[in-house]
Formats: sequence, structure tokens, C-alpha cells
Amino acid sequence: MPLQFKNLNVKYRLSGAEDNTITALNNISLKINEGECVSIVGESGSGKTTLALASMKLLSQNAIMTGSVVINGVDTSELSSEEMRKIRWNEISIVFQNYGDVLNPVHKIINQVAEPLIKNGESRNTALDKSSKMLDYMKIKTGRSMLYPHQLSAGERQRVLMAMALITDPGMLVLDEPVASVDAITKLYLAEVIRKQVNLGKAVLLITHDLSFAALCSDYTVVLYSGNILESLPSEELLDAPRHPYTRALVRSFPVMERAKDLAGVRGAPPSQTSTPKGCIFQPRCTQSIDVCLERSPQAVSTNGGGVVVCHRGGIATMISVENISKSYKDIEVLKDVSLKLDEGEILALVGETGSGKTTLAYLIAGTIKPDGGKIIFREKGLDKIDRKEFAKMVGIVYQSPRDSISHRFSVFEAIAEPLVIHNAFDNESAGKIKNALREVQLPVDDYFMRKYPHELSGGELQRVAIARALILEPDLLIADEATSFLDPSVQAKILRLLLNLQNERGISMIFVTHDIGVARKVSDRVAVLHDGRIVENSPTHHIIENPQHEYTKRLIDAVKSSKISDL
Amino acid sequence: MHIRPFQEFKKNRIGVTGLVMFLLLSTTAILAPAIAPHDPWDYSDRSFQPSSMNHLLGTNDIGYDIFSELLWALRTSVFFGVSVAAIACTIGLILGVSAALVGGLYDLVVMRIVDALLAIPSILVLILIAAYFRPSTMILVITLSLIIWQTIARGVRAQTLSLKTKLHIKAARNMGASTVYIMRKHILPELFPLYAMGFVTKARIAVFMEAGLSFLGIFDPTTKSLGIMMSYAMRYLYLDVWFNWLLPAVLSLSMLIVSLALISYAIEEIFDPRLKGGNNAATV
Amino acid sequence: MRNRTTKIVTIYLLTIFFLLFLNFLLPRLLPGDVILAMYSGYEVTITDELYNELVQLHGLNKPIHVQFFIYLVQLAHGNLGYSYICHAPTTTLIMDALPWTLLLVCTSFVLSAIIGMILGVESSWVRGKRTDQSLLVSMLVVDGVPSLAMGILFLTIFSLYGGWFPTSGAMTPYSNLAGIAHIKDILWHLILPLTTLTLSQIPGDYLLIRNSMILTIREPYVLTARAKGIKERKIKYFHAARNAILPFFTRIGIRLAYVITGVLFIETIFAYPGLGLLTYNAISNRDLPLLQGILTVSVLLVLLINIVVDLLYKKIDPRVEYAY
Repeated sequence: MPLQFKNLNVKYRLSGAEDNTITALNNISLKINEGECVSIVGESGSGKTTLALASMKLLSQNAIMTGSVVINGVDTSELSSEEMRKIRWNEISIVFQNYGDVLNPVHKIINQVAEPLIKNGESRNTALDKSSKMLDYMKIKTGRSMLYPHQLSAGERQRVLMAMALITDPGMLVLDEPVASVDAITKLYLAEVIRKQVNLGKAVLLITHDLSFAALCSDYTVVLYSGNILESLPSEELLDAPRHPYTRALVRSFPVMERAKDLAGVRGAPPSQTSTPKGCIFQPRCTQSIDVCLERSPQAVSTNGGGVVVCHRGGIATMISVENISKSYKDIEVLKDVSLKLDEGEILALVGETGSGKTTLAYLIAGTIKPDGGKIIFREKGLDKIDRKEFAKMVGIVYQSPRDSISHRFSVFEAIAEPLVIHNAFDNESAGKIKNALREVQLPVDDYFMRKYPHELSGGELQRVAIARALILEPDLLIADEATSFLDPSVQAKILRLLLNLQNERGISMIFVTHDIGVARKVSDRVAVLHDGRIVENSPTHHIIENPQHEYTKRLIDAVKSSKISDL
Repeated sequence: MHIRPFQEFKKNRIGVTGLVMFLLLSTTAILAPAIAPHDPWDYSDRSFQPSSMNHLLGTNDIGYDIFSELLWALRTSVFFGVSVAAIACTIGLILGVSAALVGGLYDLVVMRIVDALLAIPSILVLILIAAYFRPSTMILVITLSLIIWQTIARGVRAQTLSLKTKLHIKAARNMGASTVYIMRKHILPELFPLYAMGFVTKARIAVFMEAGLSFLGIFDPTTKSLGIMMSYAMRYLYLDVWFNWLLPAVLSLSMLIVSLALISYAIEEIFDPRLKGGNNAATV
Repeated sequence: MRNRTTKIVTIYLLTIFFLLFLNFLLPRLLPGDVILAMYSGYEVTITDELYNELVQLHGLNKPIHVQFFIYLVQLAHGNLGYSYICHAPTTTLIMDALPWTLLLVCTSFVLSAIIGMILGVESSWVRGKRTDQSLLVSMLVVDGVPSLAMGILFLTIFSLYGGWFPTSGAMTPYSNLAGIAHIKDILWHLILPLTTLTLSQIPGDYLLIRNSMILTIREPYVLTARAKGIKERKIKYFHAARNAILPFFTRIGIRLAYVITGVLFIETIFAYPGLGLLTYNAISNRDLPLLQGILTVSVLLVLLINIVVDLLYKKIDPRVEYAY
């Protein structure tokens, strides 16, 4: 077991009172085996770098550490600084992010690379010889090794740092943001080197905020949030099948080449590190928190994917599952044996042409029509067992045509108030609520505007009113049924962005019914393609766009592409 | 980082010590006419008297009361220091800010003058000018100010330039604020640390220069000055006047300058946020 | 690089212009007679014969630009004027005094730099601890004591009352010592002025290096070195101090003015026969040609040292070509 963290806690003492501390790492236990690369991902401030520094006992003086870091079976917390000095760079070395003067600006790079060898007692000539070979291996051109750090490019400096870390051939390697400041080509080359070193038997701890790099290089990925491990999972599942809502939010925020969906960001702000909340640390930002999340912190649960997730709900929970459902209108079978799942906080696009059954499926899920066969389960409860009116409060719907969906007799105020009135929830606080809803959809809140009638509003404004109406009861699921297809492109873009922002801020689930796979690609996490009443394909959006499996999907995508060409 | 200079200063032991010393010395100096027991120009008494109740530090070679003379000399020192500091800082502030705001050729000329002044030993210039003109104290104050403003202008200019690019100042400009408003509300308050630091440093140089130049005999020998006292006391050292004549003058001068050195160090520590905090490096 | 050269040349030209202004123009701007203003010292009577000779020498009967040309030619020949008080060419007087001053200044400069740096580095390394704090406070106090006061105290205590060191001069007069004994005699005379001058500079070096080290210790390369398992002392000096001393070199020019002031007083107090004492004597005798000569030589020396430091700095900081 080369590198192991056991119940590691790190706090930083702030100036002033003795007990004025912030928690950087909370009870971290982690093992890295020989020939294994584990990556740590998380937002800035999650404690990634603290972990890197702790691994080599390099924490600053104001850090208080409990628990232990075990290197090759030796608990380093018991070592004297002299003993630790001998371990550093011989058994474990670190590659820092190329930021500022991480290399000494006044010494030639080759001397800095050779320094650890010379410290180990090798002769200067052998050391320089080995260093020049190592720099060569890291593709630093001969001759450039005699330069000073500032004369190299950022990519070269990062490779010099790598060469320096490998020079003593230690069994363990800590990489702290090794690719944060390098170009794509150097990044790929570093990935190759890292993989090669892992295959040679090194244990590698890779700290990065670059999720695709983590997926590329590492075997396992550990997700750190505010000093706590929230999830660990095989790296190949990181981008496609994250289990924790936080991991999914990270993935959504991360620009991956193939993904076209707008970046979302993680809703809310990271917790203050000075106080620890009672329940789950992620609860305030979570899209699926339940009562227990407020009361105690969750335990780690194994997932069927071979990972571990720290969540009361066992990771991202399923909100609705549709099982073998079928529906016919008279003798026309609209849906045939359809099964589908919608996760909490997920955005699902139902794509298909007119008559494919996508709208029927959406309204079945909304509970407004009943299936002929099969089951719909909402939060582990059959839909048929839930009171119709209660369930309607949990689902907001935005329709294709706002002119039709809003009564022309209603003023803006009345239109938005309608759901409240319907559910007997209209009281003296409602006016404020309605104003807030109008603000959320970026409409004016003055009395003059609220007294306007639909015919006085543009299509875009009216659709915003419809959205405000759909959200006034704070639903858990929002269904947008071709909600933007009547609008002209610039208004469509604005409404789409508004919907995405609202989804992200409220953390609700969303079903996007559309015939336009181009729109689906921009908004959804997952796309289900319906054709002739069946789901022919159901995958993460970028998979569908990049690599459509079904003939019909290919045709849909080609149609979008060719229509774009003909536009030109 | 927002710094509350006065609260921070109060917590700084070095700074408070310096300030208390300085205030004590300068109050004594200001009150010299009131508290000096004798007229320091009165030579009616016997010369070379030892310390007594009447003459706390005895009398000098021509019968002046040394204690009274010391108080008046301290007064000269404080006056010289404060006025040179005020004038030099004002010149430095105006030229530094205007160079940064006007830019172009004007900036270039000012900065080259600053660099050139840095290479010229100011004391020799002062000596030369004093030797040519035999000027009054006031002229010497102005001359000294005219050759030591350069470091202040340089610091002020650099700070103003960096402030100019700050977003809150751009924002104020975009809101339609006038240059005068921006100077008053945004730039001058930010320059306070530099001004405070410059003031103390220059006061220190000036106090030293005044004592030094009068020691060398450049000043009008009838003014009361610590330098002149030292220079005369040294001539009569064989008469064992060192304890009541030389030492008080040397100590007063040293204490005045030490107090300024302490204050200036404290100001630097307070306003340079980079010097804050401990050595946050790992323990090895 | 070219911009930097232009900048430096401009500065030097301006400095020299300023010098010329003081030496050439100022006496001519004075009300009254130039010759009388410049040459009437305390013990000189200017005869009509001498007066005419001086008018000829400076070309005072010619237009001002010709006078300036004459001045420049004389300057280029190393002729800084004639001191009628000492009855010797100014250049000779200065050249006789200069070696003593250089001995004093160079030795103290190097000594104080080494001591100040080591103290600064060690102090910053244990920042906030008792050693650091007591060192800091004592350095601040020493920094505050002006060289003038320090010199007087040392002279009275160690020479006049203690009698352990000579009270004046750079060597025992008429002793005809040779060899080792001669060197010992010179050192014997050097100790007190040297100690005073060195002590007056140490706090400045110490404070500069200490602050610079405090910032350097936080640099990432120090963490890198520590991660590499480099020995404490090597991190401290090879990695941190090597960078922290850079500001010392950029400030040598400014420091020189400070040292010149110090040397002036210390030589005067210890009657050490260098430029400082020469200046003092020139002031006492109102010997203006000599004062002008001393100013010229000092400014030229400062400029020369600045050029050397500038050239040297490129060797010390490899980044310098990029920095400008």
C-alpha cells in the first residue's frame, strides 16, 4: 500500500483566537495502490491542494492535522523532520501547478532538476547527465535545459516540473493541477507520461479540476466538496454516470468538447468553512434533499458501479420511473411498451416528430392522462396512489402556444395567480409571490404591467408569463411542451436560457418536449428519442449527438444539419 | 484588504513606542519658550558650571544654560524636520500624482529628474548651496525639500498608475465623475500610506541634516541647534563636559530620530499587507 | 533593451547637467562678482593680479557659451580648479584623500552587507520568535541613532576616555613604520571609523533583507525546494536568500548617498583624512573650488558605481532583460 490517508483532518488556524479555525479536510480516508492513479476533483476551496500538501507533510505552520498519512507502510505523522526530508522526493515526489515562480527564477532548470540527485550524494556530473536525459524524455529540446525558467514557455515549465518529479524515480507521485496552465497538446503528452508511469507501477495522486483529464488519466476519481469526500467512482463513469448530485453538477459546469449544453454551474455557493452544518454538507445546494439530510451527515454507500457515494438517498435518486407503459387513442397505439427514468434535478429531452408519442408520454408523466397499461412511479409511490390535485401542484407545465394557454380574459396578475386560486392558496402574501415570479422571468413588476391583458403582450412576454404561472406553486418537475417552437429564434434563445437558469437555481427536474434535436442538444442532460410510439434511443446527450445508434436518430440529426446548410 | 490604520497602529507596540517618544520630545520642543528655566541667549552667568538646581545641566563655555539651550535646539530640530517633511511630501505628491495622471512627455521629464536626483548626494549639494548663499534657515528648509522629494514622487506615481487601472475608478469615471472628484474620493485617500511613510522618512532625514549641517558649521552659529551644541561640546571635552553637555545633545538627537525610525517601521508593517501574517511555510 | 539604455543615458546626462548647473551656472547667477563669490575664502586676499589671472582662466570676459566650453575642456583634462587656501590643485587634494575614503567606504559597505544579510535572513527565518523580535527592535534603535551621534559617542568613550584607539588620522604621523607594522597601524586607525560606518549601515541592510525574505519565503519555489527534501540551510540560502538579496543590488545607488553622508560626519569626527574631512575643511575655510571639485568627483563616482551595478545585476538576476 504505497500511499494511504487515514481519517485525515486538517484545519487552518486563522489569526486571532485559538479556536478560530476553518476546516480544510474532514475525515478523509483514501488508498492508492501501486500501478493505480486516483484523481481528486472538486471546486476551488474544496481542499484538493491541502490534500496534496498533506501527503508530503508540507502543510503550513497554521495548519492543524490529525489522522495520518501512510507512505509505504510508514506513518509519517510520527517522523521527525529529518526523517521526512529523506522520504521526500525519494519515495514520493510532487508536481506543482506551473503558477508563479514554482521554479526558482535565478537557477538554471537543469540544476534544479538535478538537485534531488545531488542531495542524495550523486556526483554532479552523473546528476546533470541523468537530468539532461530526463529533460530529453520530457521533450525539452537539448540546449534549452541550460536556460532559466522565465525563458521557457508555460508548457515547457510544466514538463520541467514533471522531469524534476521523476528524476529520482519515486514510487509515488502527487500531481497538483499539472495541466491547469498548459495547452491541449502538452496536456495530452502529460497524460501519456502519467499513464506510462502508472503502468510502470507508480502510485499516482492526481489533483485536478479538469474532469476530462481526470477521466483520461486516472483509474478512480474521488470527488471532494468542502473538505469532504462525496463520491468515488471509476473514472470512466465520471462524465457519463455520476452518482452524486454534486458530481453531476460539476460535470454540467465543465466544458467538455463533445457537450453542447450550456454550462450551468453548481447552484448556490460553497458553505462557509468556519462552521459545520449539522446535516449533509451539500444539503443547501442539493437538488434532492429530504428531511434526514438536514439532521445528520450521510454515510458512504457502495454503488453498483463499483464506487462509493456519500448520500442519504444513495446518490442521484430517481424521481419518476415509467415502466412498460402503453397508451392508445381508439385503435391507434400511441405508445407501445415504453420505459423511462427521470432523475432528480435532471433535464430530459423527449425528441421525436409529430405523432411519435412524445407529448402523450409527457402528459402521462404529468398525470393528466392515464396509461392503458404499465406503471408510473413517482418518488417510490405509484402515480395512481397519489392524489391528483396534490400531484398537480408538483408539476408545472409550459405549453407550446401561450396565446392559447392563457385566457384572454385574464390580466397578467390574474393569469399567474390562477394556480394559487385553484389550490386555495391565494392569500395576502400572494401578491408578493407573483411579483417575485415576474422578476424571476425578467418581466416588469409595476401595476401597469400586471394589469395588462394577453393581447397587449408579445409572444415572448406571454411565454414568460406562462413560465411564471408554471412556477408559482414551486413544482418539483417542469414540463416544457414545445415551449419555444412558436417563438422567433432570438426570443427562443432567451426563453431557453431563462428556463435553464430557473432549473439550475431551483434544482428541479425538467422534461423538454421538442421536435428539434438541435434545441435538445443545447438544453438537456439526456435525450430520449421516440419513434412510432417507442423509445428508440435513450442516452446522455453528447453520446446521442456524437454517436447516434439508431437509424432514426441519425436521420433526425442529419435533418437538423442539412436544414442548417440550406439556411446558409 | 481594508486596513483601519489607526486601530492597527494602536496594536503595533513598536509604532506606539515611537509615537509616544516623538510626541513627548516634540511637545517639550514646542513648549520650550514656556518651560526653559533660563533665556538660552543669556550669557550673564559663569561659564562651565557643573549641574545644579539652578542650571540642571550646567552652563557652557560662554555661560548659556545648557538645559534651556537643549530645549530650544530640540525645537529647531522638530521645526526643521516637520517643515521639510511637509514641503517635500507636498511637492512629491503633486508631481507624482500629476505625472501619473498627465503621462506622456511630462511624466517622462518628471521621472528622469527623479532618477537624476537619486544619483546626487543631497548633503553635498546642500553644503555647496549653503556655502554660496549663506542662506537663512527657511531657505535651507526649502532647498532641502527641493532635493529630497524624489522618492515620494516615485512611489506616489507608481501607486497612482496602478490605481488608475482599478475597476472602481473606471466605474466612477463611467458614472461621469470629474477628475477632481476621483482625486478626492478615490486616489488621495489611497495614497495616505505613502504620504504618512514619506512624511516620517523625510522628517527623519531633515532632523539629521539640520543637526549634521550645523555640526559642520554651515548654519548661523547663533541659532540653537543640537549639531552646534555637539560641535562646541567636543571642543571642550578635556574639561569633562561630556556628561552634562555632549551626552544630552547626542541623546536628544538620537531619541528624536529613533522615534521616527520606529514609527516608519510600524507604518510599513501596517500598510504592506504582504508583510502580514507569519511564515506560512511548512515547518521542516 | 534599447529603451533601457536610452533611459539610463538620459538619467546620467541629466545628473551631469544638474552638476554643471551647480558648479558652473550657480556662481554666475549670484549677484555680484563671480570671482569674489567663488574665491574669497577666510584666509585669501585676492590681489588685482590674481583677479585678472582668474578672469583669464575662466574666460569671464568672454560670452557665456565660451566660458562653458572652457569649463568643459578643463573638466575633461581632470582640472577641477585651484584651491588658493591650500595652495594646491583641487584634483591633487581630492586624489590624496580619495583612497582613504574608498578604503573606509568599500570595507564598511561589504562588511555591513554581509552582516546585515546574514542577520536579516536568519531573523526572517524565525520570524515572530524571540530572537527575531529582539534583533528587530535593536536594529531599529541602532538605525535611529544617527552616524553623527554614534561617531561622537565612540570617539569620547573609546578614544578620549578609554584611550584604546587613536583620536585622529589614518596612521601615526612621522612613525616611518613599514611592512606588517605599517598595515597594523593603518588598521588600528581604521577600526573606530569603520565600525561606526558599518554599524550605521547594518540596520538598513538588515531591514531590507528581512522584509524581502519574508516575501520570498512564501514563494512557491521555496515550497518546491522543501518538497524536494533539500536541507534547511540550503533552502534558506541557495533558494530563498539568493532571491531575497536582489533588492539590495537595485538599491546600491540610493544607498551610496546615505553612505556619503555618513562618511562626511564620521571622517570629520575621527579626523580621518578622506574626502569627508576635506569637505569639512573646505566648509570651514569657505573653499568653494574645492567643494565644487568634491561634489563633481562624488557624483561621477556614484554614476560609475551605478553603471557597474547595472552591468553586474544582469549576472545576478537572469530575468532582468525581460523585466524591462
